[in-house]
Amino acid sequence: MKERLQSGSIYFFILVVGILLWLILIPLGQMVISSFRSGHPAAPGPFTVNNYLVAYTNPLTYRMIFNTLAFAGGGTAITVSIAVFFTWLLERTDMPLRNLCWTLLLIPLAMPGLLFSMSYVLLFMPKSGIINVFIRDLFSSFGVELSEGPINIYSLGGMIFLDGMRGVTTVFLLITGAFRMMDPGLEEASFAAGAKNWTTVRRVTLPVLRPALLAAVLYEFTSSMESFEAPLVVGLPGRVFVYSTMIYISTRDAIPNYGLGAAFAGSYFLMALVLVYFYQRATLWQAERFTTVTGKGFRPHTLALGRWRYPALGLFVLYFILAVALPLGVLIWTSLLPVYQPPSMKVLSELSWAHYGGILTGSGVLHAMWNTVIITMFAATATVLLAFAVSWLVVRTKVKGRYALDSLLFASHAVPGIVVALSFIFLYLEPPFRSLGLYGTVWIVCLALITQYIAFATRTTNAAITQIHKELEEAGEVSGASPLRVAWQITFPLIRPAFIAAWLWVAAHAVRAFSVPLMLASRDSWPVSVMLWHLWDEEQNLPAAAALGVVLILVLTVLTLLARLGLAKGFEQT
Amino acid sequence: MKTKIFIGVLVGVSLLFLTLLWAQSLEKIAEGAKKEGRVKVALTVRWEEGGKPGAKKFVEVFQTRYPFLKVEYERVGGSRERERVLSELAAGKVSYDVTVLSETQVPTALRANVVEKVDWKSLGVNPQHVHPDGFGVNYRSQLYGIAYNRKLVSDDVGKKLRWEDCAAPKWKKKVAMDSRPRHLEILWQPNVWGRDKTLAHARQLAANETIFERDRTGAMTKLALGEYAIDCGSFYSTYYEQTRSGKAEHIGFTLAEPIPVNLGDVVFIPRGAAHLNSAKLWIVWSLSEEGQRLLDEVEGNGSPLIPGTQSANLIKGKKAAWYEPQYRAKAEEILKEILEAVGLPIVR
Repeated sequence: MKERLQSGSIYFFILVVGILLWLILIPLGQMVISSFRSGHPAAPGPFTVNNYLVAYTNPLTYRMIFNTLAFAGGGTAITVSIAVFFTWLLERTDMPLRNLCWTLLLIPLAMPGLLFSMSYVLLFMPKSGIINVFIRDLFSSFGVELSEGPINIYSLGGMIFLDGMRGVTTVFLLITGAFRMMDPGLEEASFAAGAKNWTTVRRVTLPVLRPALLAAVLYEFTSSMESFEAPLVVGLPGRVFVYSTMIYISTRDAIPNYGLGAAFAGSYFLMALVLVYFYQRATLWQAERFTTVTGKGFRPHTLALGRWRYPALGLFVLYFILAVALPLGVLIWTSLLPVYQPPSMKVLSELSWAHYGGILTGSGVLHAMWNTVIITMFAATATVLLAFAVSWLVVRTKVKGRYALDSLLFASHAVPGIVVALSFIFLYLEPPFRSLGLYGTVWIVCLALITQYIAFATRTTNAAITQIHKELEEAGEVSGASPLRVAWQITFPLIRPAFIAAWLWVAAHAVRAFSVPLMLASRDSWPVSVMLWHLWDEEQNLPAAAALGVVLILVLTVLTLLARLGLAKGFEQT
Repeated sequence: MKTKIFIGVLVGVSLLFLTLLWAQSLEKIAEGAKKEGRVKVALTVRWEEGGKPGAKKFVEVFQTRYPFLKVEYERVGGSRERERVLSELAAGKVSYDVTVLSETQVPTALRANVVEKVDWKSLGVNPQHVHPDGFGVNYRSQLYGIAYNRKLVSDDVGKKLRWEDCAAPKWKKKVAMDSRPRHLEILWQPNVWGRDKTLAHARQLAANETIFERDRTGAMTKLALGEYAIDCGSFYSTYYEQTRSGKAEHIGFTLAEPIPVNLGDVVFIPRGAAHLNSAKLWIVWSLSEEGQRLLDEVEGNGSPLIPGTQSANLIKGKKAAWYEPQYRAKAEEILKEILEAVGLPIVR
């Protein structure tokens, strides 16, 4: 029996390793080789070290590294501060309307980063941004005349603000469990010792939650490092370059230099790898050393905010306005105009639904929506199936090399989307993979997204399989079932909730994916996110882009809330 | 006298012979196109702009001439879109029968062997419109000028703007420019400003904190909104498009001398195109007088070599600087040098 299991596993192992090498190592290897070549991937030139010399002797590169770190650091500080504050308010205090706020806090997930950044450009363009115009008019009534601003969204500060606001929901979801499940005895002891609310939060609650917070900080920092939308929409016009935009313009702007892009990608990947390593350490630390859910009474103490209850609610409302209402409002306004203009009485007569009609009847939009559905469904399903296969091999078999496989996946977690896309360009534009004809199709986008998300999915499925006792599978094996049948008919049904959670996570990211399809999709394979960018950037049709964005946000809002509901019910049933 | 008559007759007969050959080959192409029945074209002209037909009109007239051909049209915009097209062609994905690249992409396209070689001159295309590498044709001419916001710069000042003003400290932080400043490439030529003066100008642009835009139409939109006062190196055709669609109320435009003139975008047939004859027919027609006058009407960038087009009228009697073939062939190198000087992160 064991021999059969072993030989079957080895063949399966070889198959899975082959797929992962094809998805992860070969593209990255090709990118490293290409970083030492001149010319276009379509017509590679001779080998050279010039790309590295250019990349790392240029002062602009170090400015770019500083910008990337400042952007990620600043964004993370804002995100985590807001998320921790709201998590504390929603989970541990008696703030009014907490349940409603909890649901409202999920809605920012439905606003793609691209649209969020676009809407803030419309609000804070230095000269014609709606809020800037309003502030200048206000100042003017007090005799202070300003010719522009006072706020310039095309700046590092603007990028940090956008990134900081964007990640709050994700961090909230990451830490809310820890807040909810921490041992209330520690806080009660603090109160018993005479400490006040704030002292208890500062000296007990936050230190106890430190591992969860550290993991959230590192996760958010890594995500911000990868972030592409805000740097593209507001960073490029303001000439504030970060890694992701530098790689993008190296390959897509006036004079493409793919080798230079690859040279930048190398150090970008190494920085991300270090962060992912620490993130992994932090999550393990959290899991192993800080057990806060015990067999004792487990109902965290709710803090009474007293006269601060409504101001706290006010702060939440302010956040919601900045994160959802204001950007959505400006998108709706723009979508109703023939040409973008700041609000005025004169413009009111020009409002119409024409752009919505154009979207709903245009074949291009429907085609892009269909591509989005294909990409989302295929990428999510293939990613979690592959993740399940990998986790089963790593956790359940004794095949030699399984830990190397796990390490490979761990490293792939550090490959930013734009780097995955660049490596795929090199691989599929050069022989022998060029002959597959994948470049420019929805399938290359799907493969790149699987590469990008497989690491996260395996972390989820690894943990889920570990929790299933081996006895159940052994019973199947003793009854004569093949190892694959055991995996499919016993293990898989048991880890279905984790499978669903991972599927939803990948789907939620794939539906909004931007950098990968922007680099890899062609006109007939692009999803809605790229079409949005095309309308905004290439066609300069801001109202049409806004109308498409509003429709997309509405659809995603419904899906986000349904997914949340479905996930909760699925877990309850299981 | 006899010799002159003889030469005259010889030239006449030769021209007649060439015309007959051209007509014959065009006829042959048209026969082939009839069998193909369709052509997929991807060019830079917008289908419609502000409710006015652009490429739409172009396609309609073409189909009146060649009713047996169904034209599918798609727009391929700026450098990023063109890079996508080039990469797709290199990967063997040939989506179009006729498409367009920038001058700077031509060497890569040739090395990647993605171009169908066609003897355009033998098909009657004006030799000046045939790309120096003989690989495609320049179908869309551009005049470069200075656009300004009339609320921020009076017409008295705006009409007198010179190229040197783009880098003048007076306009610090108020000037925008395309991140592919093609007009500077033309000024770079030794017979115009020359390398040293152009690079010094480019460095001054950097010192002046010039705003670099990646899209000319986008720059014009922001100019109209008042995001900056001046847009240097703007296309006359973009201004014309905005005027035609009623969006140029606050925009003025001046053609500073020397007026940079470029027989722009390179149109070609990708290797492996499904409808080769139809593609040739489209390109030859688009370069004909009818095609160019139509382009002039919808976009304002018909050939300045054809009398009566807007470009021809605008440069008449003025000092124009043409982008000479020998320098266009080195466009990538020249642009790199300029971008380095202005400090954009595209480096050698």
